[in-house]
Amino acid sequence: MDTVRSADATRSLVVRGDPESCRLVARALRDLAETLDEAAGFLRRRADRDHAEGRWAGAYHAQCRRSGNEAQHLAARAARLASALAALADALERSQQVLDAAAAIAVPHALVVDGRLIAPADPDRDSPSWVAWREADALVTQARRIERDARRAWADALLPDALLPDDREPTTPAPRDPVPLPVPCPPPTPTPPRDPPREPPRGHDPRLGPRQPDLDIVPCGLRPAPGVDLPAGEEADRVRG
Amino acid sequence: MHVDYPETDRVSRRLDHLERELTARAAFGVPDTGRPEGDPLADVERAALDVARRLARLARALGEVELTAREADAAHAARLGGLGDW
Repeated sequence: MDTVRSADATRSLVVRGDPESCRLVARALRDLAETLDEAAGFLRRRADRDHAEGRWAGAYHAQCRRSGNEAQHLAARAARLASALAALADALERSQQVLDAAAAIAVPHALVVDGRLIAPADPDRDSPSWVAWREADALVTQARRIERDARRAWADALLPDALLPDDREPTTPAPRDPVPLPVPCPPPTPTPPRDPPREPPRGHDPRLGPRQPDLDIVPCGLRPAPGVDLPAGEEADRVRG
Repeated sequence: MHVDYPETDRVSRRLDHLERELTARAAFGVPDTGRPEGDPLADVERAALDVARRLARLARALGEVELTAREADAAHAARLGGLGDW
């Protein structure tokens, strides 16, 4: 269908964005995903079998498992974004190539303005410049479609997904009761009150849900509860005492 | 409590290494996509740094566990030495 374009129906020959910059970041995202994968595997192996024994091991293993799950999920997201960004880079480049082809058709007919725009020819259906304009115009449309589809796919990839898997384990936070290391320590001191609820630190992604308590493995001065394995020194004290 | 010192030390070092690598790789820059969308990957960077911080905490906690266990062993050994004199 021939349509007569008005004089202001110029079409741009420029694609915004830098494909090489997108590829660089895509590669960096892939590297990040690899390291996250490695960390996730290591943490999960620590959580499943480890040298840890004693009361502190419970908190340690729970934290390893939780951090491992988070790392795994983030690795998958980084890998998806890397693919989407690389695809966007390819599409931007392809789009620019099609626009270059359009320019190559339009230049001999003096339809290109400032090297960046194609201006419509006079609407004379039989004139070579009108035919050239029509061909170039169709190519620009094709290029813009490629670009638009790629940008939509990139926008979809950016949509936030839950940063934590739904089936993450454990669903309960790491043991909140103090898990003191059963070591010889000074006389028991009154247990300090629970920490007041902490404000989520700045930068905490709300999609992570409420921030879980930090690892509770801290050597503190609490005596172990009855039935808990004691270090040899304290056991000896008890026997002698 | 039993702590395998060489293993604890190995795990702690590995966690430290992973934390450094993650921190370095989380700074992947902002792609020029041709749209004024700010930093579209800022959430990934934040989450990666968060994982790195967790690794560092785990490594630190392991170090403290190891130190405490070593001190407990040393104290026990000292007591045994005293018994020997007696």
